[in-house]
Amino acid sequence: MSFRLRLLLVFSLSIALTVLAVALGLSQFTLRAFEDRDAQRVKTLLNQFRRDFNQRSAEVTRRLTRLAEGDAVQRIALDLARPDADPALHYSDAEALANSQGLDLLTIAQSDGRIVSSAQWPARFGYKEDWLTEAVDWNRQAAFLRRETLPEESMLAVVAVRAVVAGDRTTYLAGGQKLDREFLEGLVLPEGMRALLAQSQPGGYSIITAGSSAVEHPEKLNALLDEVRQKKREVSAVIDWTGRPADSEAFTAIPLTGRDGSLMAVLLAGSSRREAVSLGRWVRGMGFGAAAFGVLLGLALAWWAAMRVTRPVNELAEAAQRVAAGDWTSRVPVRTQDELGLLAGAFNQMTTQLSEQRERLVQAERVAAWRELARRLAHELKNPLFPLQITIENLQRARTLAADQFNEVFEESTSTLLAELANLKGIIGRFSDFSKMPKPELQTADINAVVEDAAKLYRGQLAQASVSMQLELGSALPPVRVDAEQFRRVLQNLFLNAIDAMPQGGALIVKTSATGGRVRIAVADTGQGLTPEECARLFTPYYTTKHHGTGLGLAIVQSVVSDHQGTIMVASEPGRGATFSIELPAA
Amino acid sequence: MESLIFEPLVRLGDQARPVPGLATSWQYDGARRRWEFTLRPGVQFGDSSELTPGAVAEVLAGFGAVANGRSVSLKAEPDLMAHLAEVPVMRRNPEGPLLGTGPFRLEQFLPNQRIVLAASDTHWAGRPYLDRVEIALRRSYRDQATDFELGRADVIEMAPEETRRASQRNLRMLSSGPAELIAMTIPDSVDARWREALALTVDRAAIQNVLLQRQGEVTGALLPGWLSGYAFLFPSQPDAARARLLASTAPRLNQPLTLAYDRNDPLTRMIADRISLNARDLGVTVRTTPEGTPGALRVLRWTAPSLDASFSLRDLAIALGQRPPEASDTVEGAWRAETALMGGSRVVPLVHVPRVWALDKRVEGCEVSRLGMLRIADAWLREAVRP
Repeated sequence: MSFRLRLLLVFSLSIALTVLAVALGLSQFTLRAFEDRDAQRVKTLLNQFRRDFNQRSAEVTRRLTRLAEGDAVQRIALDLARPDADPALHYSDAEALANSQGLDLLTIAQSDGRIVSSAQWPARFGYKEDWLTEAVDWNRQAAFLRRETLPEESMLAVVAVRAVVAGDRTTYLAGGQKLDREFLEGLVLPEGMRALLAQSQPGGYSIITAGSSAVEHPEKLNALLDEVRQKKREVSAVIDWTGRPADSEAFTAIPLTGRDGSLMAVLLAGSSRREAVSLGRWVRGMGFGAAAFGVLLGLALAWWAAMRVTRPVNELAEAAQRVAAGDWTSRVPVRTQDELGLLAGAFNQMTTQLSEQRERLVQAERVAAWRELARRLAHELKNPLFPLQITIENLQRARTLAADQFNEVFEESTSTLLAELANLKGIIGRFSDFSKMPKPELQTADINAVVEDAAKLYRGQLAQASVSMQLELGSALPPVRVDAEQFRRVLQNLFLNAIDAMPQGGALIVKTSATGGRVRIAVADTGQGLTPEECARLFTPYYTTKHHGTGLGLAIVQSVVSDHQGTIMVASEPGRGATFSIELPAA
Repeated sequence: MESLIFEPLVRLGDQARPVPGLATSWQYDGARRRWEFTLRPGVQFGDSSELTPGAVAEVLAGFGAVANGRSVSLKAEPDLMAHLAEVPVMRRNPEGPLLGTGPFRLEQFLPNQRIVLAASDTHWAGRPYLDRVEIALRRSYRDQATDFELGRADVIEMAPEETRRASQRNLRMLSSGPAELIAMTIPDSVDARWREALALTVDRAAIQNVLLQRQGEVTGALLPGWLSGYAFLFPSQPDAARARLLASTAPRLNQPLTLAYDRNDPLTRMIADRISLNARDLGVTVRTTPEGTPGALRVLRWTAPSLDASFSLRDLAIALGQRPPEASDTVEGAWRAETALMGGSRVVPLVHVPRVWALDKRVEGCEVSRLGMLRIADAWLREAVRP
């Protein structure tokens, strides 16, 4: 991954993650705020319900008390207290009395609990309401919640009971008002809230809602209602009506108990989550939008930073690569005065110094090479020149000899002179060869073929030297651009060196392989090996470890390899042979 | 009301025996195959035309009537007299309503609203005391009571359950004996065990005691005891244990039963509600409704049309949609017919109630028949100041 891409990712991710974190945090905060608000509204609604319920209870109690103290009921109580009382006479009294006080329910019962008249269920006369005859001082009891059974349904009502005593008989008056939709509609509901009243009935629950909105899937409330029934305390839950979060509703369910503590009904305060979900979605949407914008901004920033930072860095990297490849004249433009500018300047200074040093080195090497050449030349020439000098001095001395002795000395001396002159010519010829190495004519070739050609020529010589040759040629090698003739000479030089290194015989292994877009040719021997110092100077012209030779062989090899854009290295330890590795770029 | 305009050949007296109407006498022919009725002389229709044997024969053609001088002969059939008592003699009037021979003639008829009758000056028994009678139609008991309280009516029919209160207010009332039957009918589609269980679970005493305010009498029979003489043979007490036993062996009811009542009759509604409550004790859901559907139970009110038991039972059978029993003039025959009608608890008699009429203080001369029919032909008014 490039520096520019990393920079881009870092910028983009930083901005995106920051924005996302803020968006999520804001979303959570918003939801929490909504939940708190809902809790507050539910509490307000519950307080209102309790207040209205208490008011209604008080009203029912007041009306029933007024009824009980009125003449009509007093007369009824008197009638029922007579020995020959005929309750049938008062069969239809309850309805009129209930209407007079605005009560939805009114039951008049005798001392034994037997119903005399019932406004809500007239046909129930004669049936007993045992709960009325419990030993309770009804006249001190406040109104309470009760489930009243009717022919077709049951009704939830706020009921009060008053006992009217006449003589030794008691007439009971149980009256009340329904707790129904009208009651719920009396509650002032905040926007987005609604109140439901669930009554437990055989087979399920009957649910009353305020207004005209019915509960479409009331069965979804069953689990919440069952939990309230079991725990007999307030329970909250979110009801998912349709599977869409915006349609869900947060409910708080409050149990409403009767006089004996049994569950009569459940008040459900529902708060729509539409607003919260919408807002949450909006916040998240904005967050993602901002994150996306942040990413784009990051991209832009990264691009600018890349232009600002990575371009100079890339230029530096490219220049460094060029330097590594040998182009020590590489320079990078200095565009700024900041650290990058300083770095570019330093790089340029470095390469300038390197170039100068290389120049100096080259010069020094040239001087050294010239010195070496001169030394070598002096050495090479001195050998044949000394005999020449001696021979000429002998000739000069031989002038004093007799003619026949002079002729003998003359013949011998001229032979020696000619031989040494030939030697001189050979030395000068080799120098001449080295000085005028031709430029390679590169052509695409299969290196294995070149190796095989070279090996073929030396098989005999190797066999004579008791050196076995092993060719381990790699398959599917990429072609290379070589001057086959020159490269064969390179290989030949290496083969000869290997033979010289194994006077007692040994093995010569030639391997070819491909590695990283380059082709490697390794020539290894099992000879005496080289010391590290020898390895370091092996490719220096005129350096040799042999007693014979000009020391130019490996220099020529290096020069040819270099002309092929390749490299040559040697790896060796004394006594462990040597391996020459040539790497050429693939075509 | 019909009896004020039209008259039959004979009427049935309190002993269910025929008494003269438009016919003054009757006798068998020699072969005892035909009755010969001698018409009353001087009888005129409302348009002053004379009543002739031909006109009578035309009306009674279904009985094989043949005019013969001043008499009309009819085929001798069982229940002939009871039939004749129910068939008024009338004549078509091309220019207006049907013409009768009664003490009043039809002066105005507004369907479902009002009938106005005017006294007939030429009635054979003499002109009635009343000049005019206005009859308001389709008025509920409550509306009639309101009209009476406001002085807009001189005579009203009272709901039997209101009689007790009315007497406490010292209202003048005329009451028949227990004449009207209130019963529950159960269709054949309900299993016989359920029919019997429902019949055994009804608390008739509570209905009579409370809903009817002790008016009428609990009954297990279709005809009142004073009419049939054998009503006591039919049991009327509830038997909750047997009802529960029958219910436990009966097939499960897949849906609630429906009990229909007359929406304009509060009494039948209250009775239906009470029966529903009794059935609830049995574990059966009976829903009461003013609308009846085929297959629904019903609360029925029926008054015997005749003092002839057999004739009345035949009329009830027709009203129930059942095959009329064979005519019989014996008590045993009537009993069998009644038993067959009630067979399988298809008809569950509950109570017989009287028909009660309240009269304004100024009204005199009214009578009520044993079957509860009000007779005002001889009524007259005191000169009292209306409130």
